[in-house]
Amino acid sequence: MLTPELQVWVAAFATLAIFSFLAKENPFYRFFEFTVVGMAAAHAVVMEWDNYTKPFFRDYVIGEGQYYLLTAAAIGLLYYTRYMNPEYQWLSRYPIALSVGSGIGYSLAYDPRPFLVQIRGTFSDLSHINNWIYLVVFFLVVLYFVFTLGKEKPAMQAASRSARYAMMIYFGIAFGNTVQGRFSLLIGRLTFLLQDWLHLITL
Amino acid sequence: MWEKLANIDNRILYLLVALCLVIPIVKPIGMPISINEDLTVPFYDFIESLSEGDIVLFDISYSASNDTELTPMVKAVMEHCAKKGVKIIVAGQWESGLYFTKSIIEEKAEELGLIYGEDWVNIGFKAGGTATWRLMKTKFWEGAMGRDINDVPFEDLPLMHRVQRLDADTFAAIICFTSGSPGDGTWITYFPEIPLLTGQVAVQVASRMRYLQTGQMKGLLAGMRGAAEYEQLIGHLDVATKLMDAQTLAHLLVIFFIVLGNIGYVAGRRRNA
Repeated sequence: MLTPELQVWVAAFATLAIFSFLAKENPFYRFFEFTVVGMAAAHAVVMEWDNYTKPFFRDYVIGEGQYYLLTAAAIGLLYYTRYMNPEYQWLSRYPIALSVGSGIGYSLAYDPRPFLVQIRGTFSDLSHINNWIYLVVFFLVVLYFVFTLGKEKPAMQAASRSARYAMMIYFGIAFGNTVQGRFSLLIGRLTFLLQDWLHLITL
Repeated sequence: MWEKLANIDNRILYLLVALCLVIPIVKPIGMPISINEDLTVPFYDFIESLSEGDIVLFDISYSASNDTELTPMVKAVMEHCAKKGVKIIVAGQWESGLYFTKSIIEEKAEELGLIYGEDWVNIGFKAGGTATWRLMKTKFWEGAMGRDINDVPFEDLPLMHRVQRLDADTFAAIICFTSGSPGDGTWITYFPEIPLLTGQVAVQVASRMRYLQTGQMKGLLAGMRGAAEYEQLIGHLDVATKLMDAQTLAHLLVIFFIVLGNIGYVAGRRRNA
């Protein structure tokens, strides 16, 4: 009935150890919590090396003789000066500036800019009542976050209260979706325990 | 009585939730599932409108923790694309997702009778962030390091000879299965000209609705529910449909707890008043 595969047993035991936190904090939970964090970090490093760094040097730098790319690699290595002596840490600002600047510049220069599409979409097709509700709530919420305007007048107070209600409705929707998502995670783990470990079900 | 209910041990609640999930998984009830006309149907209709030979890009941008919600979508959409004769390039912005789904996608492809290299190719995880994808916009092979996930050169894969650029002339759609960043943001920002379809974890759906309304996304599958609806549409009821009973019962239990909690709160306030 039970699976003979060792890795399934390890995964099942780890799952139950994490679930044991619901009863009480315990060393088993702690151990597997730290293990999963470490394994995730190690996995990311191995993936990065195997899928990018190794073929990059093999095929482009050495294979095609593009040695100038090593300049970019050297600039990237400056990121690690953050972990060095404080007198060298300022060197890490160069790769940060290059990557952040190029990303922002590209995003702002590219057409159609995503945020302009969103702004245009706010005012589109006002023939439908839903879009009017959207527009009104949009302005109310923007008004809520304009802190330079006083909220003493009754109209402003009413607008602020309406915006708060609208945001609460949105947070409720988001919470409901979050609950759905979390239950899906739990269903996945229970399915693993029932199917892969205990062989009680077949999906 | 209301004080007792308000102070009930959390472990009893956890046990009730576990029972609501385990019982329908072991013994499915078969509750009906309605189809969302605003999210799932546009997704389905778009794939249905594709022609044989069109190429789509699958972006597997999630990790093992979101397997239950997103992998059923991947399999269902893959089956739909196979039925339409659409070619699939599988890639990933997350290093973990593509590797744990690799065997699942290969099994599904074999089940569908797809030929690797001709009907589909898995180019693997591509590190480097958006810079890599922007390079692939004009030089796909160079950006993807010229090799697939099994280190096979693109020259040996006939389908890849049709893919020289990541643009709207080459790809009919990008189908992004995502649970965070990087994910659909890459395609919305840097590839707005290519139609984008997304499969989202439920947590992100509320924040992604605005892209659907502006047309930046053509369709959206919302969590495991979206996967179950898509299975209904393609006529192949699979894992997502079977697990929806558990999802529904758990949600009903949570609603019951919320109502009970609010009644207890109001009753408690009236007594103290």
